Formats: sequence, C-alpha cells, structure tokens
Amino acid sequence: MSYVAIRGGAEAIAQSNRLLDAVRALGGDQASIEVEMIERQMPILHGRVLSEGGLYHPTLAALALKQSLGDPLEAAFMLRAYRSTQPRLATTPIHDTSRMRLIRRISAAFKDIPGGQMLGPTPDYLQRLFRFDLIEEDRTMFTSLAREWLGNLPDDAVPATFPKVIDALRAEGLLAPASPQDAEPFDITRAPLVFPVPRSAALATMARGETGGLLALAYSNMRGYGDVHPTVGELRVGYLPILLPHPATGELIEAGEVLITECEIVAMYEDTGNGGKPTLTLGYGACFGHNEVKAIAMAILDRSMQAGITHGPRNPSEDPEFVLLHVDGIESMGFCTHYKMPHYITFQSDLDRLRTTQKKHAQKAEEKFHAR
Amino acid sequence: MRPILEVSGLSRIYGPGCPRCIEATGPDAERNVCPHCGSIVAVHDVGLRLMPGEILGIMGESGSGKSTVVKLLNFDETPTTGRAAFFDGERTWDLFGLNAAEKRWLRDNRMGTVYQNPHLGLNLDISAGGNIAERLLMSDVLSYGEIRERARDLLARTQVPAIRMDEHPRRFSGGMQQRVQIARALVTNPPLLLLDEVTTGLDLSVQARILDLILDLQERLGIAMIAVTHDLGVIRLLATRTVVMRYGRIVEGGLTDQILEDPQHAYTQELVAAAL
Amino acid sequence: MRARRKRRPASYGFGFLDENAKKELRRALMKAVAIPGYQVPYASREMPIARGFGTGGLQITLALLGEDDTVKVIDQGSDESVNAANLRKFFALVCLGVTETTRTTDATVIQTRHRIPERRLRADQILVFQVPYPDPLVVVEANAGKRREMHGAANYARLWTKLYEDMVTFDEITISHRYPTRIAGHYVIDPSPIPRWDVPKLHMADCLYLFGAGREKRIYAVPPHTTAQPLSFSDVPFRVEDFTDEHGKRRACARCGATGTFLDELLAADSVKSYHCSDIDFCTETLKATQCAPSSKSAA
Repeated sequence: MSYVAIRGGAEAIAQSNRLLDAVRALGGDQASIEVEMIERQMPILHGRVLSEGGLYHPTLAALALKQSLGDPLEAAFMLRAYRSTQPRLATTPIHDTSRMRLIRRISAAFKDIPGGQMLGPTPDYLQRLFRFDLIEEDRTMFTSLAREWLGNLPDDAVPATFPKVIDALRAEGLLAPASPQDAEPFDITRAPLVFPVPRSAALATMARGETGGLLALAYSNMRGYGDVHPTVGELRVGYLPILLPHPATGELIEAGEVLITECEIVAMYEDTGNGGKPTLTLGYGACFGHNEVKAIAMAILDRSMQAGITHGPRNPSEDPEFVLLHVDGIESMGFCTHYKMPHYITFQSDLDRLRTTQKKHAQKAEEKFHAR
Repeated sequence: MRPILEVSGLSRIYGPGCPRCIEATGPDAERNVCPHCGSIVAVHDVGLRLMPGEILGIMGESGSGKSTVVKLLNFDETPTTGRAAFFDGERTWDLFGLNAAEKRWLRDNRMGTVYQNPHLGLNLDISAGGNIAERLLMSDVLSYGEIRERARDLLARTQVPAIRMDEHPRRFSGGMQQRVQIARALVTNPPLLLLDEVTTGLDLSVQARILDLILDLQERLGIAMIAVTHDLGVIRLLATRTVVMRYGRIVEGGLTDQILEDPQHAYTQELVAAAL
Repeated sequence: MRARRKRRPASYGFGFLDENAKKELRRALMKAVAIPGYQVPYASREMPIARGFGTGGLQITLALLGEDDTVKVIDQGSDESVNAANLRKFFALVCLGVTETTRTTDATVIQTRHRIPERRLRADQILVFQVPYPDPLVVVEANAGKRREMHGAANYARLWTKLYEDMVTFDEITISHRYPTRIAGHYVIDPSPIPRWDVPKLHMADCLYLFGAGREKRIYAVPPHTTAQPLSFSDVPFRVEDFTDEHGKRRACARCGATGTFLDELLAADSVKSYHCSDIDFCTETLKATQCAPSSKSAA
C-alpha cells in the first residue's frame, strides 16, 4: 500500500536544496559571481538587503544575494536570521546626520539652500533607454569609467559636510523645535510592539520595512486616502560616521561609517490643539543604503501616523497598528510562503464541519418538503 | 421612599478649564464655551433624583448638556466632578468610584441604554436575536435554548415579529431597530434604563408606537427611566417629573404638568409657547 | 551526520540564539506558566526558517533544549513531513548533543504543528506548539488594544455570540480547528490549528503545553493539571471530528486497525478513500504491538 505522506520528507528536502544550489550553475561554464561584484555593481539592490535585513554587514548582504539567487526578500531574511545569533556589545549615541559625508542632497522646498543642491548619482532625470552596448561591455572601457571620473575631480569639489535645510526652518520658527530626547529610543529587536507605541518604535520598524510595502501604503496617502501633502525639505544620501563609546574610557570614537538615505518632509501646518503657535509639521525617514523611495515613503507614513495619533486614524496610512504590522517584508513574506506547507489536519477538520452541516441542511430540506 | 438613583454636583468640562469658566458660562451668560480659556462647560452642578419605577425627563436643545448627562451615567465619559449613587436592591453603587470591571458588570447587567442612533446600541452585522444573545452571554447565560427562548419572548414583548428574529437589523426600519434596541436593553431585567432621544428622527406614527411601548414596559415591569429629549411631546407623554437644561445647567425642575402649565424660567416659557 | 557536522559554520553557537535572547524567552515562558492562557508579549527573534513555519515554537524549543534532552518534531502528526524534517535537520545543526527521536515516549520536548500526540504525555514531557494566530478574539475584534481589554475583563461574549450566530445559520458550530478554549476559567486561548479532536487533551494534562507565535510575538501556556474548556453552550455540547462511516460504524486505521485515533483521509488515484492514523508514531507502535501479540487487536 502506498503511504507517500509519511516518508521521504528529509530526502526530498535534501534534493530540493541541492537543486536550488545547482540552479546557479546550470547556465553553463561561466564564473561564479563574486560577492564583491554584487556589493559594488548592484549597490541599490545590495543596500535594500542591508536596510530590510536590519544589519549593516556589506559582505554578508552580498553573500545573501548570491545564495538566494538575487531574491531581495530571501537575502534580507538571511541577514535578519544571522542577526538573531549576535550578542549586543555596545549602543551608539543618537547619530547626528549633519555630520554625514554626502554624495547627494536636494531640497524641493527651496531653489537655493545653504551649502547648495547636489544632484549626485540619480536616475531621476535619466531617459530609461537601453544602452545595448552594455550587453557585451568592454572590460577596459569599464575599468576606465571610475578612473576618469575620479581623475577629473578637483580635491575641493565637495565640502566635508552640509548644513541641514530644516535647521533653517527651525531658526525661522516655521517648524517646531526638535523635541528633547527625554526617553530612551524604543528597541524593536528587544521588545514587541504593543500599541500604542512611541514614535521611535514606528521609525525603527519602518527603517527595516519592505520598500514595496511602505511605498504602497504611502502611495495610498498621496492619492487621497489621507492628506499629508508633503514637500521634500531635504533628501540626503551619504556616509554617516558611527560613534561608539570606548570600552575603557567611554570616550566616543569613530568606528566606521554606513551609507544611509535620509529624508525630511515638511507638511502643512495643523491646529496644535493646545493653543500653541501653528507651525509646519515634519515627517522623517531614514534607512541603510541608497533607497530614496523608501526614505520618502517612510517620511510620509511617519507624518500620516502622527496625524492619526492626534486626530484619530481616518485612513489605513494614519493607523499605526495597520501600517507597522504590515510593512515588514520578512514577516509578511514568511506567512505568505507558509500556505504552501501541508494543512491536511485543518482541512480534514473543515471537511468534517462542512459534511455535518450539509447533512443537517439536507435533513431540514426534507422535513420542509414533508411538512408541505 | 428611597430613590433608585441620586446624582449631585455633576460637572463635565472639556478643555484645560480656568477659575473663571463657571461664572463666564451658563444660561445667564448664554454660552457654554468659556471666553477666557476656550473650555466647554458641557454640564455643571447637575443634581437628579430618580424614584423606582419613575420616568424622569431631561429636556433641552442641542448643546444643553442633556446627552452628556446620559453619557456620564452610562460610563461613556468621565465626569470632572460629581457623585452618583445607584441604589440597586441591597447594594449601593458609587457610580463614579467604580473600577473598570465593576462599571462593565453594572452596565451589562443592571442598566440599559437606548440610543438615538441604532448603530451605537446594536451590532447591525449580527441577527436581532444575536444582539440580545450577546447581552445574555455577557451575564453568563450559556444555554442556547434559554437564550433563544428569552430573546423570542423579549422580541414579542417589544412587538418585533418572531420570524424576523434571525435577520440582521440592518434590513429593519428605524422603528423596528429601536424596538430591537429596547429588547436588548431589557434582557437582563435592569431596574434602570437610560433613553437618549429614542424617537428622534422617526415618523410620527412610529414615534407614538414606541412611546406606547415604553409606557407599557414601565407599567408592567416597573423600570425606572431617564428620558432625554428635545421634544416637548415626548416629555408630556412619558415623564412624571422633568428638569429643563440650558447651557449645561438645570434651569427648572418639577412635576411635568406643572412645568408645562406654569413654566417659571423665561427659557422654559419660550419652549412651551413655541410648542403651542 | 558526520559530514553535516563538518559543514556547520563556526559562528553559530549551541541553540542558535544568543544567550541573552534565550534568557528573555525563558522569562516569558515563566510568566506564561504563572498566568495560564495569558498571551505574554516577547521580542520574537528572526529565525533562519520563515515566519509562519514555526518560528515561535522553534524559539521556545531552542530556549528549552539542553544537551541531555531528546527532541521530537511532528507536523500534521508525522515526523517525516517536510517541515518537521527541516526543523529536525536544523536541530541537528545547531543543538549538537541533543538526541533526536520519532518515538513519542522517548521525547522530553516535542515540537508540533497542528496535532497533539494520541498517547497521553507524561509529567516529564513538554509539548511546544507552533502558533500562527495567538488571539482567538481576532475574529470579532481587529484592534489589538481593544482585544487586550477584553481579555483582561474575561469578556468573551462576542466570541460566544459568534457561536450563537453559527447555530442560527447552520444549526451547528462551524469552527473546525483553532477552537477557542478557556484556560483555568479566565483567558480564552487559540490552541493553534489543532483539530477539535485534540482539544480535550489540553484539559487537566500531566504535561506542560507551551505555545509560541513568532510572527505575532506572543507566548502562552497551559500548565499541567489546569482546566481547559472549549467554548460551547450548556445544551449544545462541544463535538470532536466524527469518524463514523455511512453505516454508523467507527472507521479504523487501514494500517494499524486503531479505532480511537484522528484519521487522515487519503484519496487514491481511483478516487477510493482510505483512512490512516494521523499520528504516525502511534500507528507504528500499535502495529508493532499487534504484530507481537496478534490476539489483542485493540488500540490504546
């Protein structure tokens, strides 16, 4: 008698895993893609994995992409799982993003800003046309690209740091002063979200959120399920110095830097509800890597959720519980995937209920027929 | 005779409040928003005595604070100051000194509220019988047969046809929805019922039948009720005694007949004259 | 086995999680045992298996396992189901020294998805459930804050009303699995997607039941000798799955002949149905016992 259901699980998995690994190599005799190539030549995809994985480990992020055959969700997932095995050794103070070494910064609010606009690398004004010559790119041409760009750059082309646009708005009293850091930031990796949660918990959750998920919810607000009406006060991309207290002296030392994207949107002023002076409101977004869509979407959602907390949520994007419990890619992707697992028992149980109900239904129909 | 409910010094202020709020609002000032701090003095220094089996009317226009009084007694809002004692048989409940569980128990078991808007008092997505069942289940009645029996009985008493018991009240007329709400409120045999504009918005003929039903229930079950309304006709028909509210304060109170025949306060006189 | 050990990356320690994470899990477990049925929020870590594949149960198991433990993993009652096999492989990788078994009687910790073993578990055994939805109130209230209040007040009238509405519409309670069950007279739990067949086993058990919802970040417990009552009406008894055939006879397992177990319905290619024990270990043990002593054919 066949009894497929009870045997062979372990063997089937082993073969499936082998095949998955072999898929990379089935194409023929090419060289295996180097981890460093992924990091350097696909920095946007790579940055997305760093950001959603919630762990800044460039080499492992690239390895994760290699192992997952380029699936950003799976790759971020591997990074997150690895994170669970690592102890916490130290905590940084709150970072000062005005100290970032920028590669790009723009403001949509003002034509000219202190320090000036710096376009940097962006596809925004690129015509999305194919460059067919890149299908077979010449190696010497490729290696000369960077050399030529860097060679023509004067040493003082980019200042070390730039002042922040919103500081100017604050100085003018158009934006409320930054609220003092009275509370420890909420650590979403050490405590679960039990609503209501502080803003720091919301920001941390979104910083690890899935780009597409954040974008979809923020877009619903932009389209009219909400009314944030954002203006990009400043969007900056660059390297943020990471300061760590020295284990012996406690003195802050620079341990390295991470590439981040930061966005501050300003939204229309609101009634403060306490008779205070009306000011513009702020939405904040920041994430690892170069990911402008994510930073902007996050800033819009930050603003919309704050509005929801003040006035009561009127749209999904204003409801912190709705937004924060649905933007994590690792969680949502995992749960979506789990439906592929066997559900024989629960389905058997469902059938039992349906059959009993159908039987009763038939009995009733018969009784009705005879009563007539 | 001992009252069933005694309320004194009941106040509710929305906003920060200031020392001049009270003197700057009320019927004499003709406003309930404090010009100094912007706070709303919704209710101030309201006192009520409700006798067992009696219907007490609270009359006033919108903004008079009458609905706030009901919300405070129903625990939907918390008073700024004030006391309320509910004398329920052997027990006396200090209404504003209860913890959340006691409030819930009292509201589920010993009080009933009928709202103007059926959405507030009913779950329109479950059957009429289910709405009654929910309240019985809150009181730990766990026999399906008994729940069905009591729901059927109560719906009959409130003149909802038995065949509609398993339908969703969403499909019912406004008058029928109110009857289901009344049935739901009555299912635990509470000695106290709060009626908040229960006939407002209904056709005149439907109104009359609902009011008849309320009087009939009062007579047969001896339930004490507070009926809040802006409608002089409702007061005339239901209430033995009435208080008149304006800008958060009681301006006049007494036997309903007396108030309607010989109103003392200028505002009441205006109301009565307008209704004639 | 030996080959696999060689490949084990040096950076993964015993029990995969870092020690602080395990301590935190144990604290949450203690609280869950102290307040039977209460959903304890905890900082669920990401696991190397996907959310929804038992990360909640897995974290509990990892926090419990010591080198002298014997672990068994079942999914749908089977040790060989793909998910169970995958989890077992993971334990082999990150819990060196822990003994693995498929025999229910030998296990000290059993991680399960969707079933409770047929054989009554002993006081020295722990059953760890994988939980997709920890909160039974989610079907009547979407807002988590309101649900917490309802649990605190033991206010389950809306859940009961759902049963009432079921009776009105279908003349039957239609909840097939994840049957809401009241623990120690207060909290109602979602016992995870076990069939109704298994719910009575929660009541006054000898063993400890632990429930872990990784994605929803909740842990709860049904301690030994604790009451567990499925929600029902006093005059509409709770009913487990019915395995009688069209002649009113209890179906037996086609493999071991047991007539007192939860059965899997199998469809053969010619659409002929056959029925087998869902609990494979129980089935195998029963088979062994009957083969050794052919005179006694009854199942335990």
